[in-house]
Order: sequence, then C-alpha cells, then structure tokens
Amino acid sequence: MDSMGITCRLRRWVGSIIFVLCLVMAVYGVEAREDALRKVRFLPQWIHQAQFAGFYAAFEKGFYREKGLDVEIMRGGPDLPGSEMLADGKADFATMFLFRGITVRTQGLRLVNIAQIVQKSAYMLVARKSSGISRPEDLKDRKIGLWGGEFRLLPEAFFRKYKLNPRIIPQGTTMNLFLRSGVDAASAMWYNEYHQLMNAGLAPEELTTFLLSDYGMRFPEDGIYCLEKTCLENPSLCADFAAASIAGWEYCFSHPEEALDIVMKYVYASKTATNRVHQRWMLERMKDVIRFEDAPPLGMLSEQAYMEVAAELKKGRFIETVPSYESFRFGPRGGGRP
Amino acid sequence: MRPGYSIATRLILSIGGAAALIFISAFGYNYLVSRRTVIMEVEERAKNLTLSISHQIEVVLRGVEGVPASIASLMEIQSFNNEGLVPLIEGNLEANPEIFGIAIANEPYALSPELKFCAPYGFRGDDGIVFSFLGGELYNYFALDWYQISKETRNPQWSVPYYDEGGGDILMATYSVPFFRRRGEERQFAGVATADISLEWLESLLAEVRIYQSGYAFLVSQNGDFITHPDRGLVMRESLFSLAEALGDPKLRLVSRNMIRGEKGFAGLKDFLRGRDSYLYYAPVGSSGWSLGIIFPASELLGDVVGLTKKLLAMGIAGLALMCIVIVFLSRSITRTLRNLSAATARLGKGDFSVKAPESGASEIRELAHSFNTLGRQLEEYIEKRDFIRDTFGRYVTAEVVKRLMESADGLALGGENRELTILMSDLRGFTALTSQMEPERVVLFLNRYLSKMIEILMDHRAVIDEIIGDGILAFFGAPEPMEAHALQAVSCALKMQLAMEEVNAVNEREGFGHLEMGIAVNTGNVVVGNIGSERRTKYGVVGAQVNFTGRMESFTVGGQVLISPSTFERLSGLLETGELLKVQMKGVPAPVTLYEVRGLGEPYNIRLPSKDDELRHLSSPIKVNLYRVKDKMISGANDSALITEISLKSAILICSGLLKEWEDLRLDARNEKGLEERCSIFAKVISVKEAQGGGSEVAVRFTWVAPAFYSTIRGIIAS
Repeated sequence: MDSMGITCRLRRWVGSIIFVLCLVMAVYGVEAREDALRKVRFLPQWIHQAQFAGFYAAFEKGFYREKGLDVEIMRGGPDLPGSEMLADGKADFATMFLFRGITVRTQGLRLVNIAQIVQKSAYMLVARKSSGISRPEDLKDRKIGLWGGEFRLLPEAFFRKYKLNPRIIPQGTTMNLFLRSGVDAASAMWYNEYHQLMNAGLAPEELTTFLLSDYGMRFPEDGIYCLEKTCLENPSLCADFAAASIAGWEYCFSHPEEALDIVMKYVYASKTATNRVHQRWMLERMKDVIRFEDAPPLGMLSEQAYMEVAAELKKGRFIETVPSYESFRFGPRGGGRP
Repeated sequence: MRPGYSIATRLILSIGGAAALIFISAFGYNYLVSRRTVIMEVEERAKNLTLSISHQIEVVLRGVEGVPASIASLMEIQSFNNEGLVPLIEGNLEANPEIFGIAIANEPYALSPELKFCAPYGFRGDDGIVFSFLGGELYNYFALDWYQISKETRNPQWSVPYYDEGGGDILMATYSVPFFRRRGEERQFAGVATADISLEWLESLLAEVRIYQSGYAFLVSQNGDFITHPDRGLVMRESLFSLAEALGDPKLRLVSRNMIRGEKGFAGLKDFLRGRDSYLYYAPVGSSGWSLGIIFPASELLGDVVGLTKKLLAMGIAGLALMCIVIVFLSRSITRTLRNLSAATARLGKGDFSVKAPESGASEIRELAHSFNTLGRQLEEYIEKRDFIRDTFGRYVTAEVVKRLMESADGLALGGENRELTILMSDLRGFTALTSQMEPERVVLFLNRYLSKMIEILMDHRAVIDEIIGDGILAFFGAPEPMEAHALQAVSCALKMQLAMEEVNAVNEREGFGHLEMGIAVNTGNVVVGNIGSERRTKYGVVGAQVNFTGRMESFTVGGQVLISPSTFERLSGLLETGELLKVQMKGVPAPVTLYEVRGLGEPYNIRLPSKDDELRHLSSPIKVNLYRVKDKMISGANDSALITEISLKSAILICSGLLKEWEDLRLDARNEKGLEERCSIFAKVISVKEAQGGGSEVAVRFTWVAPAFYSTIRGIIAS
C-alpha cells in the first residue's frame, strides 16, 4: 500500500514535469521546429537482435533523420513490457505481437497499430525425430514446453485443430529443458530458438518442426504500436516513424550483409550473448516471415488476419470483445490479402 | 647427327635423379615416421594433461555436488517449514566455503497452502551470509532451468554456466538435486536443492594451461557454448557449432558433437581462431556434461620434426649439388680427352694424318687414343701406298681413269658401255727398221723420249691411252668422263703431236738418231669402252670395228700426216683446213673410203702444220738405190734396183723396173755412191705409180724415215 502511494505520487510528479516540459516546448518549440528534430523513443519488445534490424537500419542509414525524427532505440526485454512503457509514457513507439496488441487494447489501453512488420507467425513446435514424433498427431499426450500468456494462443489453436491434449510444461527463456530431454517438444521461434538448437549441436534432419503458420494459423506478429492519443495529436509523427521504419526494413533486404553489420553493432554494444551466425540466420528468417510469396505489403495489417487472430483470442478467452479493425489500425488499411 | 645430351647432363640426370629419388624416399619416410611418433607422443601427453585437468575440476565439482545431495536426502525424510530451511542452508554454507549460495526451492504450496513460492536462498554477501526468498510474478522459478530440468528429468544436473545475476563478470554454475516425497505409491517431485559455485578458479586453472607456444585449453558447456576460452569474445557468445557453421567446417561440427556427448578423443582440425592446422584432445569433465578441450597448433607440435626435416632437406640438396659438381668435374676430365680426340679426328678428317691424340686419362680413353693414333699411322701408311699406286698407275692410264677407278664405287667393276668416242692412232714410219740396227738401250732411250712427249700432249688433251705397243699409240677421247668435243680434242691433239715431232727430231738428229716421221689417224665412231681383262689384270680400253678401222686408216698415213675419217670430218668440217683427199680401198670395207688430210684447225684454235717444204729437185745424176719391199714390217728378200730422179726432204720420184703398188712400204738403201755408205737407207711409202717414159715405173714415194747421213746428203743436194 505504501509503495502504491509512492508510485502515485511519482506518477503525479512525472505528469507535472511532462506538463511543464510540454509547455516549454509549446512556447519554444514553434520557432525551434524548423531546425529541431522531433524526439521519439522506440522500444523493441526484446533485447537487441536481428528481429529489429529494420529499425536499426532506419536509424543508421538516416531514414528517421530524413523524416525529421530523432529516434532513441531503447533496449527491450521481458522486464520492460511495451504496453506498460507506452502507458507510462516511457516510450512513444513499441513493437508487439499482434495478439499482444489486441489483448492490451481490450484490457483498456488505447493503443493502435501504425504498421505491421511481420506478416506471419514464426512460432514453431520442435521435437526430436528420435522421440517418434513426425506428425502433429504424434504430439498426443506428450510433454510439451509452452511459453506463458498469449503465446499459448497459437499452440492451443493447433492442439484444438488436431484434437491433442498434451501435457503442458511452462517453458522458460532457454531451450535447455528440451536439450536435456526434459520435454518431448518445445516452443521455438523459427528465427531464434530453432537456430539455438543448431548452435547446441542438433542438426535440422534430427528434428521434426511444426511451423504453425503452415497449419492455417498465419497470425502476424511484430507490429509497431503507439497510443491512440499520439496518433490523434500528431498523425504525421506516426506516419513518418512508420514510413522510415519500413524503409529501414527494405534497406535490410537489399543490403543483407550491411544490415548484419548494423545488427552486430547493436548486439555488441548491448553485450548480448549471441553471435553473427545466429543473427544472420535470424535476419534471413525475418525476411521469410515479412516478405513471403503472398504477403501483404510491408507495413499493412491485413484485416482478415486481424480478424482471425482476434477471433482466436476470443475463443481462447484472452479477450471478451473484438475491437474493430478500423479503430485498431492507424494508417494504410487493407482488406484481405492483396 | 641427332642432337643429344652431354655426358655430364646424362650423368647428372641419371645418377642425380636416382640419388634424389632415394633421398626423397628416405626423407619422406623419415618425415612420416617422425611425424607419427611425435603425434602419438603428443596425443599421449595431451590425453594425460586433459585427464589431469578434468580430474582436478571433477574433484571440486564432486565436493560441491555432495552438499545439495545431502540436503535433498534430508528434505525427503524430514518436514521443514519455510523458516526452518534457513539454518540448514546457513550451516551448509558455513561448512563449505567453496559454495557461493544454496537454495532449497519447493513445489508450489508444498510447505504451506498459502505459499506458492517457497525457495529460501542463502548466499555470501559482502558482510556474511545473506538470505532472500526467491519467487514472485517476475521471478517464476518453476520455469527456470535450474529448477525445471531437475524436475522434469528427475535427475541431478549441473546447469549451463552463466554470469552472475549481479551483472558482474563472475562465471557461475549451479548444481541442482531434485527431491521427492512419497504420496502413497508414487514418489512425487517436491523440489530442488541447489548449490551455486563461482567458476573463477576454473577460468584461472585453464588459463594456466600452456602447451608449446600457443596451445591452450578451453571448456564448453552441455550445449557446446564456450565457458572458457583465451579469446573472451567467444565466451558465452559463440558455441562450437556456431563456429563450425561460420567456418563451414563439418569436421569441427562432428568433433563438437562428440564433445557434448561426453566422449573423449583426439582430432586434427583447424584452430577456431586463427584457422591454423591444429590438434584437439577432448574429454568430458566429470558428471557436469561439460567438455574440456586442449588445442595445440600442428606447426608447433611438429616444429621439431619440421626443423629436422628442413635440415635434412638442406643437407640432401647440398649433397646432391656437391654430387652434381663432382659429376661435372669427372665428366669434364673424361670428355676433355674425348674432346681432344674429337679435335684430332677433325684434323685427321681434313687430311692431317700426322696428328696425335694424347694417350692419357682413364684406361678406356687411353686405349681409344692409342687406337686412334694407330689408325692415324696406318692411314698415313695407307695414303703413302695409295699415292705411290696412283702415281705409278697414272703413268699408264690417265688421271681421269685413275680418278674414276679410285673414287667410284663400281670403278673397278668389269663391264663396258657402248659410247661414241674419237680414236687416235699414231705410228712412227720406219721405226722397226731403224731400231733393228740399234743397241737396245738406245732404242729405249729413243722411244721414251718420243713417247714421253706424245703422252704429255695426249694427257693434256684428256685422252685415255689404251695401249702403247712399241712406237704405236692407241688413245681415245670421250671416256671415261664424257667429253663434249672429243673429235675436236683428238684432231687438235693430233696436230700438236705432229708439231712436237720437229722438237723430237731436232734432239734425235743432234744425238745421231735418224729423222722420224709419224702418221696419225683419227676416227670417230661407236665403240665398246670399259674395263677389259680379268680380276687379276685389267685395262680400261676400247674394242670394236671402229678401232680396227682406225688401225687401217693409220696404215695409209705418211710421215707428218694426220688423216681423219669422214665421221670425224663431218663433226669438224667448218673448222678444218684440209689438204689432199685420199680415196682408199680398205680391207673388209666394200666401198672406197675418203680420208681427209688435216693441215690445221681454224679460228679460234689456230693450229697449223708447217706448209710442205717439199719441192722436188731434179737430180742431174740420179741416185742409185737398192729397193726392198716392206710387208708387215718385214723386209722381203726380193731385191730390185731403182733410181731416184727427183728428191725433196720428204719425198722422191723413183724409176724402177719392178711392179710396185700404191701404199706399199719400201726400203731404199744407198749404193755406196755420192758419199753415201752402203747401209745408209730411207724408208718410204709409195704414193703413186706411173708408167715411166723409158719403160718401168715412175713411182712417187714419201719418206717415213731417213738415215741421218742420207738426210744430210739430201739437204746438201737441196742447198746446192
């Protein structure tokens, strides 16, 4: 209770400071506007890695600056949830999985999607072939490691589809449980954990993988989110940030080696325990989930995919109501698949 | 001559090549054996070193493992509440200074229905042991490796090493032991007891490992991640597999798999850092699942072998070079004598037979030089003999025949060819009669003087002298070497022979020999020419009807005359200056034959016989002579007398009673009057016969030989 009080007081303090700052900026900002860049804080949802290569590239290649943006790329992680950071005003933009964005929105935080980056899910279940798993049906009654929260959405939809009732083991942040054979199958992002298994000595031919987007669950993932308020007050800021970020991704796809160099620069600066081989893999897979054969244009959130994810969330009782696509989406809108 | 290699080159190629081959084989064998020995030694050494380090680590880990194991056992038999676990942890931490922290983490609500998280944790703080209770919304330990893996595998586990939570650079590892509670039949998982240790000592232990100059040790986790490595950049960032993928090295991947499977082994591979050829020995570290590897570069490992090999190689090359030099010197000394011999042979080839090769050097060379010198000497002797033979032989045959015989391979082969030649025959008129009265020595002297002159002229005209019978000469032109104008040569030669008779006669008269006249017949026609004779005695000569015809022609000549046959005449008609024409009837020839007397050759040869100073003087008192007929050079016994009524130096008119025929040969002996002695005679040929006015015959004769005394008498008559 005591701590809550302190937090409230703090918030008020912060609020008044921001208010004063806003006033100052309103007074001086008008004349400084021509020269001064608009300061923006961006929070990727995880630690620095190739998953966010496009944002690093947009910064390093000056795409943000070209749009008059002075972007601070923050270091994300499990301890810094994007929804809270946006709500607290500690970040202006953040990336989130689509299902996370919808969930947060229905929980009362008015945030909007200003650009959809990853157009299909990279979520996969992996199992050792030696454990006799080669078809979805083989997962029946097996011990399967799953991440918590909305991450369960996809695998549970998958289990429903194949009428499986496996033993769910909560999965931490490493693949060690699977590597030590503590579970029969584990969750993995195609661009990350799957390759960690390769880095731990497993060969692709030893594994059975179920990439869930191959089983009818497209489920777009990383998108750029901000508060609805930000969009209403400063629509050009949002549009510029989205456009420059998309340009950053385009640059990565046309200059993969340079993009990798940029990623490694961020990785080394943040002392992340990873290596170039792994980041290369991640960057290549990011392209696979952003720019595949019938993917919508980079940045566009497909209404159909949105509705699918929302419906699945409702079915899984993660949400009770489905926010309208129009209210969720800022910027270019799309119907079904282009 | 086919160009070849010198002796030195051949020796170097063969001996040097063989020696190099032997050397390389021995060298290669030595290298391989030494290399294998060294690698085996190093493998042994690396194995011992690896096992020893592994053992050291294992001893420490074992000591640590015992603590959570005993706590776990206690947890299975005794009931504790949350606070009750604190002294247990504290006591164990105090008793085991190597342990940094101990936790006893229980399943949700295991100790109390109100407590979801029940995990007291004691660790060494700056001021002694500090306690905290793990668990909360942000620290859900049930999903953490140290808890979950032991739970799910139901086995004690060493964690993958990690950096401590405090954000320091202290490498830590946690040993987790699951404990269970009996619920009826089932042994139900109840929690995990853990012990954390710092691995700083491990890092320094491995950092101390030095093999050769840059060999080192490294440790990888169960996943192949680097726990320690001299390159800190790899630690906790790269794994053996990410390196294998980055380097595209499937062998490294294979070895890495063996390592994380807890195998031990020895492998040659590329160093991860520098890409050098290296050797890796690896072994598992106790029950941790970690693997220890020791890497040493092949270059250093094999440094001694490579050094020794280099020295051997240098020695071998130096040896080979020395051998090549020796071979060059040796072959030079051999070939020097050979070169001398070769130079000597060249001189010999140019005809210098006096050249001598030095008989020195190796015995074979000495023998060769000796043989050469013998050859030179024998050649010299042979040439001397040959020259003698050629000179001697040349006196009998012309140079051309000698040349042909000596130089042509079939020169001496018997046989003949039909060829058109010009044949020349000459004879001295009255020679037999003259010589019959002379001493033999004087005959030879006289004959040789005459023949040597004639032969000289014949040789000059490239005639082949077929035969010399006494005073008669048979020669031919146009063989053995073909001659363009053999008829012209023959006539020119004949004229010159006649002109030379003046000189011969001048000498003869001075020495008291008689005046001689020569007749020459020249005939052109087809004859057989070749080596005629047997293997033992051969001459290069001519045979055929034309030879006989020429002989007959010759019998019609008188002294100083050159008669040519119509065939010769035809060939030279424009050039000839002819005198009288003789129509003669020859034996064996049905029609009369016209013979032409040649007086000279016109431009450009300009050879002319002196005009006939042959005006007959009428003798007021005729000279009486006895007349003998000469038939076949024999004087017939019949003896007539005759009167010389007219006389010149070369001819006369006789009146005689007997019947004489044209072309008959006569001998006229003076009858001891007008100062002429009895045996003073003239040989002559009947030229024409007329009937004398006073009966008998008036006979014109031409002298063929006049005795010196008679000759001076005639001169006296003419002079008066």
